[in-house]
Amino acid sequence: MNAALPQRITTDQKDNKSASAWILKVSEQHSVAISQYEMNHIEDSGEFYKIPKAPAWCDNIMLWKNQIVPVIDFTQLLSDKTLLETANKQSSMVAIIRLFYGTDKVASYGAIKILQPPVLEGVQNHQACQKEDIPNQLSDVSLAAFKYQEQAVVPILDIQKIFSGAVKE
Amino acid sequence: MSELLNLQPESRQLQSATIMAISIDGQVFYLPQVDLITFENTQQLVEPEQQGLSVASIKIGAQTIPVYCLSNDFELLNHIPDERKVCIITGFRDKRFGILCDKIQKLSYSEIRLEPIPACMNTQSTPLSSLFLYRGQSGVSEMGMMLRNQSLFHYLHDMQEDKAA
Repeated sequence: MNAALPQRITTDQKDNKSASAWILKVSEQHSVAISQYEMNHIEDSGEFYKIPKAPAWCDNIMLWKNQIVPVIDFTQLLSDKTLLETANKQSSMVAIIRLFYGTDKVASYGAIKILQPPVLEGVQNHQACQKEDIPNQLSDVSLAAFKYQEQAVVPILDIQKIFSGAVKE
Repeated sequence: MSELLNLQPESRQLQSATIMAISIDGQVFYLPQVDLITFENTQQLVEPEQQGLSVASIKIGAQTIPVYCLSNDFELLNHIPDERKVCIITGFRDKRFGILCDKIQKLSYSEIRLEPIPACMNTQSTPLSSLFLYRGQSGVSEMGMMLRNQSLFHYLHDMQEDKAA
């Protein structure tokens, strides 16, 4: 069953320097962002297969549209785990991300575990912040970051890097 | 029906296959029948012939073959759980070895599709060779984890090297 369609909550129509990003709540303390065009689908009842010997943050697979999709769990990359984050481990809601098209024109997908349906947010230049503000564990997988609601820092994920195998534990 | 899995996972083409479903602690892994030499009852096991990671040995003809016991997350065990009832014998090049499992079942599929393990999983040290998709009994696609003789051999060999280092 699919989750309710995410809402677009704010957009500054007057500021043509804004870009849209999906905000994904990946733990109680952390949200991350991806480009508007990288999001493909929200699935709220994913069935996961655990792959032995894979890194804890990426040891699940789900099937979607007859394709094998790796599932990222950011709570395993973040060190400040809490009891609430343990609940995320049991969450079966995922954002399905479009990665690229291979030579056979078959789309490739990855998934990120999330706590709640994502929101599409307009992000403006003045929200940009230093990459140093990104939590250490996410800096290696982020392109940039911006301030969002109550000054929380939201890293913009380098999706291709995360799913390409370039991230080492 | 072809019993050979001769396509690379990257090709993602459909093929038929006869596969052995191998249960270890409730987790099912799959091994192409072509990789299976034989299987024996664990009552045939004897003490390991040499110091190492093997948990037992088994005599097949004139050969004494080392037998390894893996958990369902591929950790090597130094004891044999009661559930292990079957010893499958496989081999790579001239090396034969046994792997203990709880049960084994022969399955035939008219269409399976091999898929590589996703790159982000960094599973360099694994006996898994690939993943595959098949049509389950309910008609819905399901996923299996494929072992091969070669990947099992290299995994055990690497573990042996690590222990020796």
